[in-house]
Amino acid sequence: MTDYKNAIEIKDLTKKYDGFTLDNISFNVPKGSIMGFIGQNGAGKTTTIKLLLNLIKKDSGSIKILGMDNIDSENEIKAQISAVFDEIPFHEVLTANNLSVILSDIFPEWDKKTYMNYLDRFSLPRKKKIGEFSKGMKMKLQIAAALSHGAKLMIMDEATTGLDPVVRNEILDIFLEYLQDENNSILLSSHITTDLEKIADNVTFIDKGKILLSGGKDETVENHSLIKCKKTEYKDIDPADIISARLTDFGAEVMVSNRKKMSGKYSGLTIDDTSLEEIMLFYVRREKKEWS
Amino acid sequence: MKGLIYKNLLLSRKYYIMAFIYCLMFALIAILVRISMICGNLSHDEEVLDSLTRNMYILQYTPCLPFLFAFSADGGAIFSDFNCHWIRFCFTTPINEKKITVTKMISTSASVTFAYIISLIYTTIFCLIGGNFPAPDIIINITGIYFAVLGVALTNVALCFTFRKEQTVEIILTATVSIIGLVMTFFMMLKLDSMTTDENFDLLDFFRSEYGWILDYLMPAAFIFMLITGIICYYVSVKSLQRREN
Repeated sequence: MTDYKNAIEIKDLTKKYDGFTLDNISFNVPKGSIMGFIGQNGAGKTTTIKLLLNLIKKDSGSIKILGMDNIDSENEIKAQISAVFDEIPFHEVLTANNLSVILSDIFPEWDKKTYMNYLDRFSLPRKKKIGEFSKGMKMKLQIAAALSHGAKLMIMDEATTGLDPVVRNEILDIFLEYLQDENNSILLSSHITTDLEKIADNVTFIDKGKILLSGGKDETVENHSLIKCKKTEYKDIDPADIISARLTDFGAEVMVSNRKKMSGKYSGLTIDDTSLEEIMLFYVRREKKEWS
Repeated sequence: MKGLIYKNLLLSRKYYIMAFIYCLMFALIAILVRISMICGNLSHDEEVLDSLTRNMYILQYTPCLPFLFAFSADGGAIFSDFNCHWIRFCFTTPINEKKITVTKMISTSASVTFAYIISLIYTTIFCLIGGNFPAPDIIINITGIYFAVLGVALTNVALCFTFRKEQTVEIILTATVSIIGLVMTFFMMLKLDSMTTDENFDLLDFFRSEYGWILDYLMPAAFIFMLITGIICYYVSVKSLQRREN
């Protein structure tokens, strides 16, 4: 087995489409961690994931998964990873039992006992057709299948989107359990930032095909802050410090980085903590540094 | 590979059931008519008996129809794979394009073979009860059709993989074949119509004398067709799946 520090290493990855370019992106997912991959719809999350899985061909750059090149060692990598998408890829006429027979043929390390345990844990019927499952049940089935072949890395594209908070929490708990093994890692793409705040160790923020931020989640949140001030006070803030600002009739909210420095510089203003969601929102609007 | 074949068979099972019910239904009609011809009301009228014996010749072609179900089963299973993103899922697993194609080809062969077996059973029952059909001719005929349909079904696999987004190509092909078939049937009927004035006209004899050469060459020609299309299908399908961005 290859020794590796990062479960995923992406370097200078580029993919051009008509009207969209994934532009020279680089980031790593450290082994044993959950990386939240954030961005609005169309930002390039799914394209990046497809490139990781070699579902589409890259134009340039390199991708290493579990220490191996994602194209040269494709089959070896794919035996050790799981990919979960927002749409279930299993035929509606099949049952969970049928699926076990099929997947045992696909994955060399398929563990029927683990799979059946997950079915029981998620209260999923074994003989009911998948077409009769609810969306939450379908997602649980997909995750049960993903966790039953000893995968070292789970790649999830909007896996929790459209699920109710109870099911989402249940699934997030499973992810945390999965990470108890320090060899396991997760790349979780989502625009539900509250989920990522709960479980992610690191976050990478992508917008319009470019990586804007990548690093520890706590550091990212701590490093940003929101200055709330009156319109008159807003003029006193140095434009170089402003990432983006929202102006209303009542005042202004200004996203700034380097909280410590800002606290000293603007001691007379209220500086609040911020969240991943607010960071994402302000970064998306950064080109309009002021918006009403 | 057996798990993937199992999946394909599960997806096709409704078509197999339809083919089976269809043959059962037609066999039942034939049995009932034949029983009536032997010992029921129909046995009393020689003119009706003669007419029925001639008309029932047409039923010898019904064994070809289960192949249509087999054909639908394979196409349906592939489209279902694409629609539910199964193919995309396969590309996230250690399965490669060759394995996907080979399992599809094996499943296709299995379903066409299943249709062939149903046709043979149907024909055998029909011949045993009717007693007036030349069974060897029909079996040779069906075996030829088996290879021909298998060849077409394998082409269908390649078409489904290649022209997934351009299904119009398949529709145009089907429409063209159907129109050619209809035109040929029309001209054959015209020819038959001009010949049936003779009271001693025998339809089967006519087909033997006019189209006997087709029977002689049908099986080897169909086998070669199946072999060539099978090989082409394999390479076209694998190449198409390797493009992935479809």
